[in-house]
Amino acid sequence: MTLLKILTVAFIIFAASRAYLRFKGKSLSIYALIFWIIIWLATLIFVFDPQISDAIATLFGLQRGTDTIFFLAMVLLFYLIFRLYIKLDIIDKDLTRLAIEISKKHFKQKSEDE
Amino acid sequence: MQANKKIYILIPAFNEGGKIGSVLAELKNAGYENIFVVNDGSKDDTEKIAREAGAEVLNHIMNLGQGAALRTGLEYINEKYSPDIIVTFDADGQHRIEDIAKIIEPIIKEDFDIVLGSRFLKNKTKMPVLRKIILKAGIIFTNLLSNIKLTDTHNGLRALNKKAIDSIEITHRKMEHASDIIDEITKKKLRYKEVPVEIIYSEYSIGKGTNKNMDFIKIGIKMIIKKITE
Repeated sequence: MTLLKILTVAFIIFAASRAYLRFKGKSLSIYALIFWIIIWLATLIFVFDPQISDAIATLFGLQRGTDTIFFLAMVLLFYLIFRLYIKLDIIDKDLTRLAIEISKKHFKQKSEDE
Repeated sequence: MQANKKIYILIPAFNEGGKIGSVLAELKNAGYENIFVVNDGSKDDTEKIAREAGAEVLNHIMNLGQGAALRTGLEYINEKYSPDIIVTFDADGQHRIEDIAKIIEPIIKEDFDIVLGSRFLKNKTKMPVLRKIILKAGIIFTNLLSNIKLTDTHNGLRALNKKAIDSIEITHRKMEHASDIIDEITKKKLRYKEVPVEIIYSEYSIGKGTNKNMDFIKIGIKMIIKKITE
């Protein structure tokens, strides 16, 4: 096994275990866990059997397996960035709601005190 | 003044210490009593000046943006006083006090839900050319996205009746709130009217809006994302 393979496997075990622990800690849904397990399993397959990527490449109409991996990685990254954007937006809205409520509560209290 | 209607003036303000005092004095002189300022985390003495000028001042603990300031004011006044009409008014002296009566009138006499001030309806307003081009592009863009026909989509002078106050949800906390309001008009099927108003572009207000041209591009991007994600 090459050094690259060892490092990749170690990283996949680390990443998958993090996903599992977050699932156990209820901060990750079962669907998200399945999504990540599939991603890491696919990575594992590509590392140990690079030929399979050529078969998938033919399926996508591409010539080389590595092109397919890059293409899929790009799609995945865009998707993840989009998800992050949505999550940040939700946090932003929650914080705004919180700050508005604090402002209203303070003013109400102040008016009642006067 | 306006036939026994409970009218409230709502002014979002961020670092407007240089102008808000005179704006509030003019409003008071014109006979408007119920004035609420939402101090949006200003670093200057906006709060003190507004309070001394006789306005009720709600404070944001940090700068959230004009949309959030309007939300705070609309929600608070609505929960506490059950208003007939709320007029949103800018703190930087861009709006003319006499235009308030003009935008309230269609709600009282013609039963409109929301009345929007327009600087392009009779085109009296003199403004910098670049600002005009960007504003016009913004108007076409907002009209397309919201399926509405307006001549001015980003004017801070508006009047809302109880139905509009109850139903309009402002989702963006910054300048995109203006597009939110337009969007809500079509979604909630509110009766709307535009009324010509004049905007006074002073050195002060132009100075405050130096980044506004860039803001319009950001607003466009955010509105597209909102449409995709909703």
